[in-house]
Amino acid sequence: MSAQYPTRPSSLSGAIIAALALMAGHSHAKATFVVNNIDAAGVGLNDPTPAVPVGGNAGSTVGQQRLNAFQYALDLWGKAIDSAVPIVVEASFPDFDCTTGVAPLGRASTTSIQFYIPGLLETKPGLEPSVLYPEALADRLAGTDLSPGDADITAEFNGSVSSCLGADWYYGFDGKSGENFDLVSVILHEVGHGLGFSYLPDPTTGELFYMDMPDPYTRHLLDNSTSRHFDVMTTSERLASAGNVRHIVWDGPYVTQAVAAYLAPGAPNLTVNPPIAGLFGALLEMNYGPHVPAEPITGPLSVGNPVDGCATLAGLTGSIALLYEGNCGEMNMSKRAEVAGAKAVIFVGESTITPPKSSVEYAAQYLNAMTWAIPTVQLSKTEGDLLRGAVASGVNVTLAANPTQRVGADPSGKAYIYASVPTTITSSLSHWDPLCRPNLVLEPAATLDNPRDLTMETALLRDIGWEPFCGNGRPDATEECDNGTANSDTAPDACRKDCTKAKCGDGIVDSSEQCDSASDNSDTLADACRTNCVKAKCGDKVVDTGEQCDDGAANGKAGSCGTDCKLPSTSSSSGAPGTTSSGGDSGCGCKVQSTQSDHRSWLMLGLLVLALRRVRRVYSPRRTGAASRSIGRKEPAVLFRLRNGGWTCLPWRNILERVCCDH
Amino acid sequence: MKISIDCAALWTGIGLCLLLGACASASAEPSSQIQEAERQATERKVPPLTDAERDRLKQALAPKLSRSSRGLEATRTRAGTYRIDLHRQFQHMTVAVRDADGKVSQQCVSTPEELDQLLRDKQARDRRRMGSKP
Repeated sequence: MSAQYPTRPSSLSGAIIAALALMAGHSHAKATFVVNNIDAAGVGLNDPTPAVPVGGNAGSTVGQQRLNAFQYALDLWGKAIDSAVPIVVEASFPDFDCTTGVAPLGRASTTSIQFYIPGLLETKPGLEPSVLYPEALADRLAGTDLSPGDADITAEFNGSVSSCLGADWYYGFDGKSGENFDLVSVILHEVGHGLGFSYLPDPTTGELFYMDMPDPYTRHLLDNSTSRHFDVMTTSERLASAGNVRHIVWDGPYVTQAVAAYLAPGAPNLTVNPPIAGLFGALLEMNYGPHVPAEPITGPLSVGNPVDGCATLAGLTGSIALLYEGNCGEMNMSKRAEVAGAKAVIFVGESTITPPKSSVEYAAQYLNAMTWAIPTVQLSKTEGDLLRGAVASGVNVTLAANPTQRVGADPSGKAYIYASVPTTITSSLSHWDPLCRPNLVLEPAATLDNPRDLTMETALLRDIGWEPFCGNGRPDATEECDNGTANSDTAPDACRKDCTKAKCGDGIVDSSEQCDSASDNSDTLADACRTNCVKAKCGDKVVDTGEQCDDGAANGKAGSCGTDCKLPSTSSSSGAPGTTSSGGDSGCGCKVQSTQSDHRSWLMLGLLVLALRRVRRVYSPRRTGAASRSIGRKEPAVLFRLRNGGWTCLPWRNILERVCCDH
Repeated sequence: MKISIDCAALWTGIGLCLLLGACASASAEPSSQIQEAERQATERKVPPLTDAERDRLKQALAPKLSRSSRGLEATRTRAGTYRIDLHRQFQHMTVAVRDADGKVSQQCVSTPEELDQLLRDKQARDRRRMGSKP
C-alpha cells in the first residue's frame, strides 16, 4: 500500500485526473474513490505537523497520515463494490463542536438523491423510474456522472478529538488503536452510509423521503412478522414496524447468501416461564466467557445480592443470576456469580434502549487476566426491570443457542437490521443488529476489534444496486474470467469483454486453435474452419478445394476415397460397384488443366468417347442390374465395366475431373 | 462498546481470581501493563456532563442529523434526472463518549433524538459512577 496519494485541494477536476492516474496503480480496485480534500492549507488533511509512521501508515505529517488513512479505507470499499464512474468523496477535518467527554468523531452522507420520472424524461438506462437513489449509486447505475462537478459523498472528521476526549486519532491501518480512536474504522463505517446503507424515510413521521417514492434500501427492509416491506407500508405501519425488535430483517439475496457463509451459527435465545408481557428477550453477548451453548441452560432467576455484584455473592447455586451495572467491572461480577454457583449471568446495563446498541467488551489483555466457565448475556435496563419484577413470583429462565440459526439473523437466515424501542428515539434502521457474530463494520456502535471485513456490507450494497459488473478485474459469481481493462475481443487467449474465456467459435484464433471463423465455422462447408477450430483437411468428410473426394475415416478403404482424398485410379470392387461420395463444389482447376494441350489430353478424350460407348445410365438400378447405391446427390452417373470384369460407378462430374485433372 | 478498563475493578477481579485459583494465567499478566492502563485511565477521567453542555452540543450537532425532507427541492440535471441536494443533512455521525470514570464508547447516531438519548445516557452513567446509585 503506497502511502502517497494525490489529493485535490482546490479543484474537482484535478482530483478526478489524479484518481484516473491512480487507477493504474490500483488495477484490482473495482470502484475508484476520489478524495476531494477541501481543507485549507496548513489544517486538517493538510496539517504539516510532523508524524511518526504508525501501523503501516508511512505518512510523515499528520495531514498526510489522515489522507492515507482516508484513502486506505476508501480503497477497501473500492475493492468491495463496482462502479465505472469514480466516486468523489468531499473530505475535510474541521474542528467539531464538542465538550469535555463528548465529541463527534466523524459524519457522512450522500450529498444528494437522484431520480427520474417516466413520461417526462427520456429513459435512463440502469435507473428505475420513480425510485430514489443516493448519488453515487445513481451514477454507477447510469454509467455516467449525473451531476458532474458535484461530490457524491460528504465526509467530515473531527480535527480536535483530543481536546475533548483526552485521546486522539489512531492513523494506522492495522486496527491496533489501543486507547485511541481508529480513523480507518470510522471512515469505513460512515462512508458505508454514504454509499447507501441508510434508511431514508423520516423516522419520526414514517413518511417516505420524497413524493412517496421508494428507494432500494427500503424495498429490502422486511418486517418478518407481517411479511410487509417498508416501501409498501403505510406511514403508521412503518412507524410500528420500526420498533418491532428482532423482526426487521434484510431480505436481499446477496445478504442472505452472505449470512449463511459469514455469520456464525448458534444464535443465543432467552425464554422465560411463565412468559412476561412486553419482554422481547433481546439479548447481546459479552466478549468474555463462553457463548451460550446449544445445550439449554435452565434455572430459576435470582437477583444478585448486591445487585451489582461488586461484593461476594452467595445463594446462586443452580440459578440464572440477574446483575445490574455497577462500578466494579462486568467481568468481575460474572466471576463472582460463577463462584457463587450460578449457571449463567444476565447483565443489565444502564441503557433503556432495547436491545442495547452495544454489548460490554474488554480488550484482549484484560480478558487474559481470568477465565469464565459460565456465559454472560446482556439486556437493556427496560428488559432487566421486567425480569426483576417477576422474580418474586418465581420465573424460570432458559438460555440456549440454536445451532441452525446464525448469530445476527432470524431463523430463516435473513440478517437483522437494528430496530429498537423506544422507536422514535433510536430506531434509525441503518445498522446491523449488534448481536452479529463476528462483529461487523456497520453495527450501531464501534467494537474493540475494529473490523475491516466488508463481506456483509458489500452484500447489502449489491442488493440495492451495487452489483458487480464484467470488467471490474475480478471474476464474479457468474463470470468465467475478468481481467479488467485487459479483457479483449481481439487478442488471442484473452478474457473476452463479456467475461467469458477465449474459446473456439469466438472468432479469434487462440493458441490452441488453427483457425476460428466464429459463426462461419462449419463441419459441412468446403474449406471452412471446422467447428473444433481445426482447418479443413483431407479426412474431415468434406470435399475441400484440391480434394476429389473425402470419406473421412473410411478414406483408403476398399471402394472409398483414397487417403489423399483423390479418387483411386482403380477404385473397384470385384463383384459390386464401388462408391464414392461427392460433396460440394469440388472443382480441381479444369481450366488450368485444360490449357495443357499435350497429346495426353487428346488421348484421354478419345478414351472417353470409347468409354461412353460402354456406359449405361444408372438412374435405375434395374436398368443396370447393379445394386442400389447412393451416389452423392443423385447426380447422373455411369457404370464402368472394369478390365477385371467388375463394375465401378462414377458420377459424370468425377469422370470429367479425371479427364481434366489426371490427364 | 469500547471500554477503557476500570482499573480498580480490574485489580479486584484479578485478586479474586487469584484467591480462588480459578485463573492461572492471571499471574502471567505483566504488572507494568496493568499499571500503565490504570495510570492512563486515571488521567482520562472527565467531569460529568452538565445539562447546559448537553443542550449546547445537541443544538450544534442536531441540524446535521435532520431527517426531514421538507423544504428540500428537486432540480433537473443536464442528464435529465432530478437531483435533491441534501444540504449536508441526513448525516450519520459517530460520537465518542468518555464517561466520568474514564470509560469510552462510540456510537453512530442518525437522528437528533438519538443524539439526545446518547447524551442523557451518559449523564445517567456519570451520576451513578460519581457516587449516586440509582
